[in-house]
Amino acid sequence: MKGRALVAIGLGAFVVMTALVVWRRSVGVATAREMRIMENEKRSLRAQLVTLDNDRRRAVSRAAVIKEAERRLGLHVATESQTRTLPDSMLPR
Amino acid sequence: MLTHREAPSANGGSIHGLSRLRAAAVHVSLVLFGAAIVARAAQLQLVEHDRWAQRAEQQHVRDEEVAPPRGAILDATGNVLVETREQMLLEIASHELTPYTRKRKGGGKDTIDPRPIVRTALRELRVPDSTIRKVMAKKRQYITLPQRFLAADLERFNVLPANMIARKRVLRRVVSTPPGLTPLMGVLNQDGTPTGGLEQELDEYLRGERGHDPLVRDGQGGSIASPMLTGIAAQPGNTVTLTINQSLQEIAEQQLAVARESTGASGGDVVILDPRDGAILALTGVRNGKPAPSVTPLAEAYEAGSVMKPFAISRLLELKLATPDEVVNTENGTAMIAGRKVTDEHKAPFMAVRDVVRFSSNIGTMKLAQRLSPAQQYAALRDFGFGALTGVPYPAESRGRLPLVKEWRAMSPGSIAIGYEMSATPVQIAAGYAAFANDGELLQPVLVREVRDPQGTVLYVHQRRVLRRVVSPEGAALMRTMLKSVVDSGTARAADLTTYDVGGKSGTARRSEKGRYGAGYNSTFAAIFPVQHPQYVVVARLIDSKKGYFGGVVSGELVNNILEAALATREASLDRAALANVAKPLPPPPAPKPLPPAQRLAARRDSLRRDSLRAPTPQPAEPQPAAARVVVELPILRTSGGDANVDRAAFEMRPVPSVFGLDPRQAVRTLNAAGFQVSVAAGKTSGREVRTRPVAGVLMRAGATVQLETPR
Repeated sequence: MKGRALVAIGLGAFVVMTALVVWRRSVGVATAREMRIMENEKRSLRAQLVTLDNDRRRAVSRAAVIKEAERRLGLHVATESQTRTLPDSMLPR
Repeated sequence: MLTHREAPSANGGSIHGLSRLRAAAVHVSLVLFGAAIVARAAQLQLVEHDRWAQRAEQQHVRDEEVAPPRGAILDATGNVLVETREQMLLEIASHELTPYTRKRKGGGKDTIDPRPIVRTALRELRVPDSTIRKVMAKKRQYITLPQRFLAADLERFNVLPANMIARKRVLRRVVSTPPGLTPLMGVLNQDGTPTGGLEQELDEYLRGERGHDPLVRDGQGGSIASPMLTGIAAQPGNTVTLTINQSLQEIAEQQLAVARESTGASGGDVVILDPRDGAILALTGVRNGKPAPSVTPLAEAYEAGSVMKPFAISRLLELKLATPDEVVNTENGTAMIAGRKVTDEHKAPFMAVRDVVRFSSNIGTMKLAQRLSPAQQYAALRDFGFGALTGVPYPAESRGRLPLVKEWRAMSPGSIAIGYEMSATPVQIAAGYAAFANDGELLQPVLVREVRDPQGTVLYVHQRRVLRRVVSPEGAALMRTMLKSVVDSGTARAADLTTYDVGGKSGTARRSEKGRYGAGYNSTFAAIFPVQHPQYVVVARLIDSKKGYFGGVVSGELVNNILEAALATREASLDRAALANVAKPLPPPPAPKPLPPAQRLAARRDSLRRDSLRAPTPQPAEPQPAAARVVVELPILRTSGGDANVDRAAFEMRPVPSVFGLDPRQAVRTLNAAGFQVSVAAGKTSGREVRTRPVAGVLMRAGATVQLETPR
C-alpha cells in the first residue's frame, strides 16, 4: 500500500473515531439532560406527595373529624360517664 | 547553473562559512523553539497540570450548592408538626408577553397571544387580582410572584416559550401544628437561619449538610449534570420527635378556648405532663383572645397563689413538723399574721392539716409555714425546681422568681407559702406536682422524645431522668390523698370525674401588673389524674376570668373538660388497661319512671315480640330458617371474574317484616310481598297474635323461609 492510501486510511480512521467520540458525547449529554428532567420530576412528585399527605392528615385530624361529625351526624364527644374502660380480664380471649 | 561547488571565488570560503553559520543559527533557533515548546508543554502538562485542569474545570463546570432539607419535627404519635417542602417561585417577564407563532402539526403556523393564557393560569392558581394586574402591566420587566407553588401546578405554563416564564426551586419550612404550638417551633429567617423556638435550640440536629452538584455548561447556555464528576449529595437534617401529643394539644387548645369564652377570661395557659417520664404532652397559651406570641407556659412566670401550698405542707410533713390530723387554729377565717390581715374563704375556727389543704386555708398554711425556717422553706421550693430552669430546650424559658432568703421580709415566709412574692411557670408547677404523682421523685420535664438520622438510626432517645427525691414515697402518697380530697369534697369539686379519682389543688391569686395588684385574678388548678396511678399532671390557668374567678371552679372545670375529652380520644397517651384497674364502680342505674299508657302499650308489643325469641323449636319436618346474621357489604364492586353475571338481587338481605296485629292470611301476604317463603305452624302461640320466626327486623336472604306461627 502506498503512502497516500495509508494517509487516507489514517484520516478516515481519525474521522470515524472523532465521529464516535462526538456521538458518544452527544448521547451522554442527552441522557444527562433527560436524567435531570426526570430528577426534577421526581422531586416535584415528592413535593406533591408531601403536600397531599399533609392535606390528608389535616382532613383526618381530630379537629376536622369532630367538627364534621357534630355538624353532619349530630354526634358529640362522649363524656367520661358515658364511657367505660374494661380491664383486660373482661376482654374476650 | 552555478553551485557553490562549481563557482569558487576568492572569498568563496568566507561566504560558505557565513552560510553555514546562518543555517546553524536557524537550526539552533528551531531546536530552541522546539525545545521551548516541549518545555512549555511539559510545564503545562506535568508541572502545572492540576492548576490548569482546575481552571478549565472552573470554566466548563459550575459547582451548584444544594441546600439540604431541614429535618422534620414530629409529635409523639408520628404526626408531622414541621417539615420542609420543595416549592417553586414563579418569575414572569411581563415585557416578553407578546404574541408568538407556533408550528401546527399538520403544517402552517398559529399566532398565540400568551397574555390570556397567563391570566387564566394565574387565576386558576388563586393569585390575587392585584398581582395579576401587575404582571399584565407592560412597564415592569420581571416580576417574581410572592406566592409559592407546587411544580405540578406550574406545568400549565409549559405551553409558553422559555423566555416568558422562569421557575426557581425553593425549600420552604411549613408549620402544620395546632396554632398554640407555633411559637414553640420558632421560625426561620429569609436566609434559613432559625430564630427562636425549637428550630433554634435543635438547629444542630435539624439543619443537615449542604451538598454540591457539578454541572457542565452545554452549548445552549444551559447546564447538565456532569456524567464524569460526582457531586456531594446534600444530607437532610435529622428527624426530631417531640413528646407533644397532637390530639391532646388540640384538646387543650379547644377546651381553653371554650373556657375562655364561657368565663370571659382574657387568656390562659394549659400544660399536660406525663408524670411517669416527665414528657410534656401539651402546651398552649392564649393572650387577649389570640394564641400567645411565645410559649407562655414556659416563658411567663406568675404568682400562682394557693397552688403552691402543698409544697410547703409536704416539707412540713416530711420533716415531722406537722401531722396530717393535727389541728390548727384557723381563727374563724380572719387573722393577723406578721402584721397583715389574712382571710380564708372557707371560714372555720379549727382545721386539721389535711383540711387546710382541702379548703385551701391561708391562715392555716401561713401558721404552719412558720414552723419551717426560711432556709428550710427556700430549700423545699428550690428542691421542687422553683427559681431554676427546667432544662426544656426552649430559648426563652423563664426561671421564675424565688427570692434568696436574705431578701425575705417579715411577711415573706407566709406569703411565699401561699404562692405570693414568688413566681413560677405552669411547667414548673406541673413538674412539682409530678413529683407528688411520681412517688416523690422530681423528674426533668422533657420535650424531645428522640432524634433519628435520615436513615432511621436513633441518635438520641430520651431516658427518664430523675433530678432528685423531694418527698418520700409515703409522703407523696399522703399528699395525693390530700389532693384527692380537694377534688372530691374541697375547693375544686368542678374537676371531679364520675369514673376516676382526680387529685389537685386550686389557686386564686390577685394579678400584679407593674408591681401593683389590680382587680384581676389568676385562676389556677393543678390536677393529678388518676390519683392512684397518675398518668397526667394538668395545670390550667385562666387570666382575669369575668364569670367567677375561683381557680377550683373555673380552671377546675377546664381541667375536667380536658380529662373528659382525653378519655374519649383514642390517641391520648393513656394506658387504658391501667385506667380500667382504678375505675370506680358504676353507679346503680336510676329507677325506671312509670310509663304513660301509650308507651306502656308499645312496650307490651315489644315484649311480645321478644317473647317470640323464646318460642319452642319448630317441628323438625318444617324447613329451618337460616341463622340470622348481619352482612356488611364491602365497598368493592366486583366487575369481573366468575361471579360477574350472578343475579345480585337473589342474594339480597332483607329484614323480616312485622306482622304484628295481622290475621294469618294478611301475614302470609305481607311476608310473600317482602320476598320470603312462608311456612305456617298452626296453634303454636298462646296469645291471640301471629308471630314469626325469626322475629321482625332480622336480616334474611330473599327467598328464605320464614315460619309463621298462628294462635290456637
